[in-house]
Amino acid sequence: MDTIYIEDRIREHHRTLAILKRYPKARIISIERYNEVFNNASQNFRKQKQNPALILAHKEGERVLPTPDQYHIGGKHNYYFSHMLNCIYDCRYCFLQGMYRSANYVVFVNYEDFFADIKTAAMQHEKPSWYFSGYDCDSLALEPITQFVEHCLDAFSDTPQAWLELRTKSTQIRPLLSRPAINNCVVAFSLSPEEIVQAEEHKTASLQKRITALQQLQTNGWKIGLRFDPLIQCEGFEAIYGRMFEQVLSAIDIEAVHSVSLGPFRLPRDFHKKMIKLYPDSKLLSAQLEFNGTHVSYPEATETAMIEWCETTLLNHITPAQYFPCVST
Amino acid sequence: MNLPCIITALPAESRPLIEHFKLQGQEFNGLQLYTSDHCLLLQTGIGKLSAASKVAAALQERSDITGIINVGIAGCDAPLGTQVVAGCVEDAGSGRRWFPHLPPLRSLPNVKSVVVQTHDKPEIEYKKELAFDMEAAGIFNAARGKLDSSAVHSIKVVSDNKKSQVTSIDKVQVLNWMASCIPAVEIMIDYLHDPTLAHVHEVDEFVASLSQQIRFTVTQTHQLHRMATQHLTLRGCLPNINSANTTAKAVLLRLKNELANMPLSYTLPSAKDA
Repeated sequence: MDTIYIEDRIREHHRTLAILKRYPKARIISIERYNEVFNNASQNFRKQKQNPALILAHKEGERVLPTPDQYHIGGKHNYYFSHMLNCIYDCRYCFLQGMYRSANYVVFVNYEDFFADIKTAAMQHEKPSWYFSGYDCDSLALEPITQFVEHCLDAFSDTPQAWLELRTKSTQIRPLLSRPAINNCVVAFSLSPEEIVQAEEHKTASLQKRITALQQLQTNGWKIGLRFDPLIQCEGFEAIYGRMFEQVLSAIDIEAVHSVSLGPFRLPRDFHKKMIKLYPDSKLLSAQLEFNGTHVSYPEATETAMIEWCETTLLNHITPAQYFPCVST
Repeated sequence: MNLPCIITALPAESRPLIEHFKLQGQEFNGLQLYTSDHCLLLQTGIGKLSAASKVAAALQERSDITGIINVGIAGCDAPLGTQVVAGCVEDAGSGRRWFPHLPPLRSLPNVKSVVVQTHDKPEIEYKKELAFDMEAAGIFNAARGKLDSSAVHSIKVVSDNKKSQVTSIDKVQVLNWMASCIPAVEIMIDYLHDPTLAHVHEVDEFVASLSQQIRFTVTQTHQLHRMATQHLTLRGCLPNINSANTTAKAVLLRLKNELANMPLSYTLPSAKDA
């Protein structure tokens, strides 16, 4: 991390000090509120992505929010929270490129406030409620710096009626392997064929490394989830995705998989517009997509065919109870 | 094309840069502009108002400017000749602040980042990590809206401090200090390079050329631009259009059909570790 912006109010916070210790040479810049840097209108996401700065901040206001209706894995009450904004990876399809003006990472250091809010939300429901952590960031990728998940798991251990989904492409699973698995946590990996990992998911772990991480987690008693999302239309789609399904499903204990979901490549129209300006040279973003109300997506027939083929293939291996279709991010 | 513009206030700040970058003086609508094919230099005179108005005028006149580097002297509680880069620019009058997105530390290892605070008059309450100047805030304010935070920067060299105050600044020293800044300025010019511009420029030229032969409406021109960009990205070349006996509508339809038949192709050039 070359540049670290710090909100004045958390300058002496113990987590701020611990993170600063890791970067003794970083340029330190004081700010009043994180949004004076992060939300500034004149920023170049692509340029910033080459050397993102870290912004340490205090999260005020609503920290735990209801998910969109279609975003669930079987629970009735679903929420998401973001202790971090932005991701260290650089996936060309990622909606964060269109949603945020800045590629800098924001880390909110007041973790305890998140946990208190989750506890409050969980107590409002008689039935279990779900909390998704990987919506605006990768849940595990920056764990060596933030140690958020370590604290989060402690908090969820004490709140068994609240279920946590960690969503990741990262193999930073040491904090999970170094402790006993907890019942109310699912570690869900986003998975794509290796061809697409190499071409579109820059800086991420290979498919094989993710599979190895899944195996290790299962061996250590953690519930795992498989997220085949987004499905990318390409030449030889069935061969490429068929190979991936085979590679993943033959390597893990399928019966013990908590949930499997898939979703096609789809973006809000405004995000897509911003993204093609940022990356006019991206093949993925240059592919023919159709406007579909407020979204852009593959033509309906193409999308349906992709999903149906994947569903049929997956349901040869998993039970319908494990399957949650079209969870689009 | 990438075209950075260096902004200075004084002739002594400009001269070493003009010589190094082999710039030619040009009277340009009252602006003191020095140009070459690869970079420009604008000398604004002293003060943030003069800097703001001249930078705004230059950006208006030269829409091909893709980045700005303000280079000049500043007061700071640091040894004379120390080079600093602005991590934050603050207008002392209004309190308004700008946060340039800096290049990686490894590219400017010996140039410390500071807050550059712009005052209307010379300031002598020197502080560490705070450099006083008289132009930066005006430049950043004028560039706002036209250029993003990765494309506007300020490099300063310390010319006065507690021991050697602003009245002792010597012109020869300024020339030497500015010459010593040139490597940092060159690094910043490299950092400003935007790789997408070549792609966009190629498409711009294609669209402009075709528009001279076939009449496109504004909406159709946007569509043509988008589809030509897609074609260039997916095929690696621009579409081959024979402009004789055709219409804008026919060109767009042909391109749409062609693009529909260009599926993405993914292969494994080298197994990452599969």
